Amino acid sequence: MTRWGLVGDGAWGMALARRLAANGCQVTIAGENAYHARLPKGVVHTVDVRTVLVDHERLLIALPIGNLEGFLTGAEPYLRGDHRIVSTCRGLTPKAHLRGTEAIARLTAVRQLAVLAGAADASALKRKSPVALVVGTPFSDWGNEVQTALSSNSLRVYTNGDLVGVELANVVAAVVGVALGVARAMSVGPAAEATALTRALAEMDRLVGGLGGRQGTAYGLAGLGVLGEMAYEGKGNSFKAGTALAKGSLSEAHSFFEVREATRTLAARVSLEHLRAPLVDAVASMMEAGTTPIEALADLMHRPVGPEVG
Amino acid sequence: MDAPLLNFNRHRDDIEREVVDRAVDWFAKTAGPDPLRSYQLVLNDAALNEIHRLQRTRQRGAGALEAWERLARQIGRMTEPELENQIRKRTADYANDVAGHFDRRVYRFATSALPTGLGALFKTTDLMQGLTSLRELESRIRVEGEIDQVRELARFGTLVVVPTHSSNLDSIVMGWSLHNAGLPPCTYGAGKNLFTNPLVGFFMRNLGAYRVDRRLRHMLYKDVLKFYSQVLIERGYHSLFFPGGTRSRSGEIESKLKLGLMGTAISAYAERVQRDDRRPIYIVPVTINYPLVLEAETLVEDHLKDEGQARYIIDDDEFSHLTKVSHFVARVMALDTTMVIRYGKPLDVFGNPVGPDGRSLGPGGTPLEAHRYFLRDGQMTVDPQRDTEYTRQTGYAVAQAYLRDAVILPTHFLGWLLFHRERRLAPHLDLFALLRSTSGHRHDLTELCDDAERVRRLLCRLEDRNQLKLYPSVRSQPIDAVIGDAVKTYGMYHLKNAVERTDHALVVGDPKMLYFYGNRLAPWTYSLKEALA
Repeated sequence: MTRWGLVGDGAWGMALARRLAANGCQVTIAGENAYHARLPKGVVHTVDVRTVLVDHERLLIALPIGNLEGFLTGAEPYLRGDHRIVSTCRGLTPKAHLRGTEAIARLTAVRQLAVLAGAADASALKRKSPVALVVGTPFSDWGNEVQTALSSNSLRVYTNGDLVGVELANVVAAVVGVALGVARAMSVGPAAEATALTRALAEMDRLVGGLGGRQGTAYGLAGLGVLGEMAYEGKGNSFKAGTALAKGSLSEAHSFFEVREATRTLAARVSLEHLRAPLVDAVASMMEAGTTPIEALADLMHRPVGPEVG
Repeated sequence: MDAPLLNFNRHRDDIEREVVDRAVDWFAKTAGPDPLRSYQLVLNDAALNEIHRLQRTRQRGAGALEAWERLARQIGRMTEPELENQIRKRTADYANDVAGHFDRRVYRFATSALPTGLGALFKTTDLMQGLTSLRELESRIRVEGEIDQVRELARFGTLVVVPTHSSNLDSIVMGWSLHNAGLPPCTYGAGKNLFTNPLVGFFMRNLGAYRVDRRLRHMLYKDVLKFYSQVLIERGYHSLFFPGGTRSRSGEIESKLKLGLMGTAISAYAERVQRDDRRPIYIVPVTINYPLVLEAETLVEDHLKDEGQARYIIDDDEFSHLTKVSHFVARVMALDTTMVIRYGKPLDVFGNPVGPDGRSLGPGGTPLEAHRYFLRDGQMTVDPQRDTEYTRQTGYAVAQAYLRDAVILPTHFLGWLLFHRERRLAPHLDLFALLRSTSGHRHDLTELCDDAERVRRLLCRLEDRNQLKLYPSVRSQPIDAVIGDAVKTYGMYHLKNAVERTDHALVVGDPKMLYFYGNRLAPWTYSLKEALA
């Protein structure tokens, strides 16, 4: 029986703990939210994060990205070379604008890292809807282990060697998804929405490539998968934030704090790396500079036209 | 305690035997559990590569091509013992070809009686003049950085020194700097083509260098080379290799490193841990910073050719002409700016920094037990794929160290600035057209000094943030003196003066040279451009 330590007892952390326990893993989950929750067999809850880190070499971190750097600074003394971590943190860190695993690599000695991403959320896992996730890691043994530990009849977990690409696609999708929400709420029509979707994908692919991932990864579960969910469902926080922007309600858009943060940090990282990202810039401009959707759309449409790919 | 390399010859045969045994064991598993298929795969790969190579170089008649063709026809009919025998024989031949020698007499000669050798290099006939040259050499090459710590670590660990690579003089210069800094001699892999220089070849052959024939691209040879390097490190021989693989053609600091030989440090450490031998292995990044590069003209030409990769092994450059080398060295002696060899902070084989006591440290300074990287559920595990990934991460750490320890000299500083201005003056030309032009543009000195001050302010900030190192004069001298020094330096060696000074301007004669030297600042180009915007 393999032993797993989970850090973060929010809805997503608990859903994954249940999934691991259902596959026969012994799970200890640390956090301050669910200490009174009813726990399934095989799951133990603790508020003592240190014990979880010291006693488990397989770790799953399900914290909001904003809390990650603080957690890692405290955890550094307990993290060793034999630790293997899978992160589900989505977005970039608030100050240094790092991906989750990038922050882990920079602030701790752990090398065997993976990221878990995709469209499935806690409620989909609870409902046992047939969904899929992707685990991105260049360490194939670790990827296979995560895959085996989480998979079930209703959850397919794919592996992908491109950790950077999977992690970034997930972040970029959260931001360009806002543009899809704006387009739907402005009733621009199916052709314009399809244009927004394909250009969002092209931008996602370019950014993934430009920031160290492999081109093509954006078309997988972490990128297209997440965008597809938004476009079909017409929900999701990014989509809702876009709808609020289209209605002219900036305060409502800002209430989706994680989306606003993802936009701010991604725009900053893209600018730092001197990459071209018109959709991300347009979303950032609507979110922070008060640009109206009409103005943002006009700016996008007036840019010089180039080749479709590249 | 003697450096292990001093006793190398006594163990040479034993090392070769171990390399052959390890390699043959490895080859038996190349294609899975069936040794027959694995041996066939390895021999076929070697035969195919060698036949193609020998056909290309038209070496028919020497017998080698015919022998490989004969072998290729027989492989399918050979039994497993026959195949193993063939592989063992060829592996032994390659191991023998790769393995170096270490002659204490040559080492003593090279270190204490060096003036004679250098005298020959400087074309002096007078021994006293040679001695003067050696003293000058000490004042012309600055060896700095974490030398004390590296010296301490060498007492109980094994060093793997990984310098940047921009000239064939690098191995000589590194050998000298190790000795000068009181560090033990290292064994190192040198391209077989370097042994063609008679003087340098003599020293290399007898000072522990092992020969790397980069024309041989098949796995039989490459794996022999890797096992040779691994066995040496495992046995505690301090080693040196250039992870850039080849000299930087563009003048840039290497960012993409070849990880084959660097991976042998991790494999050697894994092997030690398996045998409960916890003696550490340390990676020591080093930057070699030349104010002038001997082969700059050939290298940048090669960079510009489409077939640059085809000339991966250049054997007809400045280094192969002794007179050019001596001319170059004599000129370097006369420069105001010294060459700088900077030893960076040592790392463990996983890219973690190490403390003064040699223990690996986490990013927050927590001591680490490095062997734990090989554990799974508390047990040592063998996982080549995992170790390849560890090597990639260590390579990244080394590339980052190269940036932090790159020393920006006046020629790099002015090269970047003038080339940037050239591009602004000729926006209609693409990069290659500009590099091929003779320019002739005049750059007003007052404007140039103004731009140079702005660039310098940014570089000082980057140095304060530990992102690079500035040569002291670049940081502290009046800006026109820094520019003057660079102009004088270019003019000391390169045939076609890169820049000439008139009354109130600099006139660019050869943009290629500016591009080459300025590329040292390429990683910071965006920030530098912003500083000038």
